[in-house]
Amino acid sequence: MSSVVASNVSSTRVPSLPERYRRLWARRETIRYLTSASLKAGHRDKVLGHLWNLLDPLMFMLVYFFVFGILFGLSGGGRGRSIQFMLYILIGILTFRFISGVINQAANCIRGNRGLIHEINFPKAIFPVSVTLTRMYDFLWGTIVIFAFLALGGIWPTFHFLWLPLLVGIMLLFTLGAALIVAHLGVFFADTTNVINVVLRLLFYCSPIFYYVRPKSEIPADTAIFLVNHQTVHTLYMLNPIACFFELFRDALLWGDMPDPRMLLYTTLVSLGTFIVGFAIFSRSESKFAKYI
Amino acid sequence: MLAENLAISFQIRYHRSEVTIRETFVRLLDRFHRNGHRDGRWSQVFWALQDVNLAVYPGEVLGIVGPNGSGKSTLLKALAGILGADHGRIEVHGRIGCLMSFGVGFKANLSGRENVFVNGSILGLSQREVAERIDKIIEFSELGDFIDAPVRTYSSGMKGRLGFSIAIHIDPDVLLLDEILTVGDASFRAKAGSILDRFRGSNKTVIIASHSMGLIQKRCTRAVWLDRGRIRMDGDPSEVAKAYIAETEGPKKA
Repeated sequence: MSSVVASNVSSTRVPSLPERYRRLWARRETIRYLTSASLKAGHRDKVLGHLWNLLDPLMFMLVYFFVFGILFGLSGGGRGRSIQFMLYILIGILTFRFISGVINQAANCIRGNRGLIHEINFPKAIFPVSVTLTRMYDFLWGTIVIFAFLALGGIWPTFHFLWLPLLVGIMLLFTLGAALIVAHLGVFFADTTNVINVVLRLLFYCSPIFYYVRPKSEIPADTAIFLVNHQTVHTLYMLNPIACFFELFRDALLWGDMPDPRMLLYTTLVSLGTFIVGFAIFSRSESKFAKYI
Repeated sequence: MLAENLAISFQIRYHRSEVTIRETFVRLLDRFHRNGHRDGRWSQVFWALQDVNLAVYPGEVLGIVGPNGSGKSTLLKALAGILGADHGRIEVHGRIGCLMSFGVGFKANLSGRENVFVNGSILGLSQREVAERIDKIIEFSELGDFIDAPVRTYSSGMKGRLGFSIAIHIDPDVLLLDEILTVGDASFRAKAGSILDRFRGSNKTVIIASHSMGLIQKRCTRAVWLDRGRIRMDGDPSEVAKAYIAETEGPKKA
């Protein structure tokens, strides 16, 4: 019948890490329910409903295109260059909105479910996981806009598009890890939201969303602002995994290249590390959550 | 489910403290200045339960009595695994069904029916198991057509009834109830009370925290009196109730 443990022993000892993974995995159906519940609630009362998943990234892209492409003159002339810059922004916006959206929501996802946590015992990681999956759904809708613009710009699918699922998977792992860490902090410090807001704002400007950072043959030299011409500065700048995700996605989709292997390796390792550390610290202290919220 | 035999034996010490970043910071500064000496003002340890030893067996309906803040809810939450023990251990055989408060875990925007699936899943039921039980749950909750209305439109009594109905229909081996039988109107209370008798008959375990001595005497087979986190008395419900009433009302009469 049920997969629920027939006997459970709890003491001051924390279960082993594999056991904690196993318990979370056993809750995959609950995660699915929570995710679909918040998806249903998300756009329920809006006139345009789920259309906002397409409109949101599109509108924001147009705003940034207007400011940076036109007012600052970064897009260069001509239809082709404009669409190229639009796509450049779109990929950045969509990725950043996914990661920052998850981190923002994760900070409150445990406190927000205080009622449930005080009623029943279950692996609390289901909340940050379902927050991440909910946002992933929005992200995947957003990729439709990207493909539409790719078609508009006459960029047809290449073999390098096949990197996309892998890149999304790595990004998911990184975001999940970050969500677990932030959710964990959010339990013990109610101030987490304030700190998160500032950090995310900093990351927004320190990630290449609306400016170029890498010299590329496709980017016209007169319009490009290579903020980081200096090699060391550039390396430091690219330590930001969010910046790496942008560049990797752009390699595969926009420039039709193989993603930079060194960047890919670095991002994979950082994401794996973030997830492992995130899950370890979150699940180690989750039995204390009920006392703090 | 198989009627697994239940044995709970544990020793628990539990402290509760609210920590904000400011407090942590101040405490850190404190430690700097006083060279490790900690001022009691900044860290208050409260033992909600101390050295509680309790074994409850299948077929028992255990009532927990005690004044507010004596640790009744803490004990139930510790048994349910919601609060981790700071000392000692808890052993539970079988599935726990618990209801601390009424439907607080419901998602306001979802319908009652959707919430049954979400809650059932959190309680450890598979989708199929919930689907098998959904009709009985709806019937018992007496919600009728309201089951498809969003939960935000429910009254607290309706939420409580639905929550109680879910809790008893997951076929728990151990049912933990916190003041739950005060929910709903008289007829629902009577129905809920008879459910407790059925649980006792089927060799399951029920633990109720309540202020209602009538309920304790009528439904329980055993009672425990908690006083400031310790077990003061453990035994026959009417004797415990008598002693408890004597203590709480005694001083007033004198």
